[in-house]
Amino acid sequence: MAERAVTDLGFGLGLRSQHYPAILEGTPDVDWFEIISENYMVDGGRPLAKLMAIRERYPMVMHGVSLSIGSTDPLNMDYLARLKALAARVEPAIVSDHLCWTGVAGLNMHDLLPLPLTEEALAHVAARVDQVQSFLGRELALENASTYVTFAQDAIPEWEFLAEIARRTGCRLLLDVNNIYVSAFNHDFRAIDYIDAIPREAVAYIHLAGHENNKTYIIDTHDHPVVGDVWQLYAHAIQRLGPVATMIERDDKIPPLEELVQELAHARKVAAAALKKQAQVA
Amino acid sequence: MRLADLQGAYRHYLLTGDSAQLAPAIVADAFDGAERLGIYRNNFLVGLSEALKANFPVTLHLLGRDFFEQAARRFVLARPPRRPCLFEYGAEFPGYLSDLPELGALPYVSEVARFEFARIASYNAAVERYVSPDTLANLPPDQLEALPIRRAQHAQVVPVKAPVAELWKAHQVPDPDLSVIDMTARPQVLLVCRPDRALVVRELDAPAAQFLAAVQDETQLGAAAAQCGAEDDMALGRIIALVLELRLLVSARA
Repeated sequence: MAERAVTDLGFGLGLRSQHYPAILEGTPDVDWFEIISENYMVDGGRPLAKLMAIRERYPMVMHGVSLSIGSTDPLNMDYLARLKALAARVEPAIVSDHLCWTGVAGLNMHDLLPLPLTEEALAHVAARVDQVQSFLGRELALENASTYVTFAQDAIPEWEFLAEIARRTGCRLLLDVNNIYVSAFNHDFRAIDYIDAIPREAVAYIHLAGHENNKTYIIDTHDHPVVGDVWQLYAHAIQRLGPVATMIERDDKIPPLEELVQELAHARKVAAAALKKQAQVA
Repeated sequence: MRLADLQGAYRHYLLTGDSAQLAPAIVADAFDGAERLGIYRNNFLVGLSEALKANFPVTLHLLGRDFFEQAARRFVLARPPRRPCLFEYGAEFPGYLSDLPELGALPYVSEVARFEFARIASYNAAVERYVSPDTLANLPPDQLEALPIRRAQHAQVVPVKAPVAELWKAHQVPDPDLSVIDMTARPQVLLVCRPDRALVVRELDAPAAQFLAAVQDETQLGAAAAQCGAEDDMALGRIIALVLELRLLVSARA
């Protein structure tokens, strides 16, 4: 399959095992799939067989949750070797993970924990991104995670932090528009300012997802359809960034594939309208 | 606070709930630092409990949701994960359950959990170069005994006392009827393996169980055969037929 640049992939979905039959037996209107890398870090068996059957038909992106790029533990080289082996098998358009840390002192809490936004953390993450990219022999994309705390010592807005890591390391960014919305609500900043500060050329692809609003704060659950405000923010992002590969990420309460394909059709409409508006403004 | 110290304080908070070190580093505004941190602790505990539910579905049903969740949360705090993949989490959970005083009267629960984890290990094991009928047929007879062999990674052996295979099988339909299962203890050795893409479960007789124990680490075919206690060539032949059918052996020369 001829490879396209990641930004030109079109509209994708997160691959979930519940949808294997519907994907393999039908022709869902999905341009590409994103896999959770760790789910396929196995040596054999049915998951890999299904994955490769789907890979034969669709471009893929690999998305990880255990890189722990911000941890002060040494990088887990065994994990990176498994990640590299999976990438050799899947030949993804790009490999991504999160701006976060997941554990320290040998533990992996399997949660996306927040980093203080300091010069120390910036230098630490940038050095590790260099190390990872050089080990994998390819670009990494880093995603903004939803956060629920800020640190007294924070000195750099998150959008500048991400932009600076991309500038120093040449890594790409995975912009999760929902996570921007969630963090903006939780920490009282303007989501639009975040998007407007992200360097256009660094953005590899966009995540869309749903969340749960508890009124005083928002928990990023990724278990609901995308909400109206996030669609508006997405339209703003596309107007500013131009066409960018976009996908819907549902992690829990997984509906039938058809429902997500319909939501993805809406994303196509929103993006098309935003691009039209962009052309009129230009 | 240095990044390493902050992460150490965060780790301490997640494992203990004690935020004395961490809270001063958190900005408190419309709602306070402890409440904000609580979201992370909740995500950590719930996320990993859910992962255990996914890895131990029959154990979950046997214990009931409330008890399982309580036990899972205590386990998460006592034995937090170290590995990067969630499907690998819980190898120590069966042992943890067997040590719970509340489960003293239900020893079969931890056996079912051990069986469920063996299934995951088998399901995800590497595909290897298995000893095949051809391997043996093509070998000069005088080299047969010295053939170096070991058990394939997908071949998991689980000794149990309770009717674990029956319990597991009963749970493959919604609303299982457990009243039909004879819960009398009856020691047996179960084999969970994945010769091709599907998992296979068999009960092993004593010679087959001893043969598979003998080949856990690399040995020679003759030595394993001598150790298995097969009474005659027919019994040994049955073992060889089983390991070939289910691709249970790997040979350095295969």
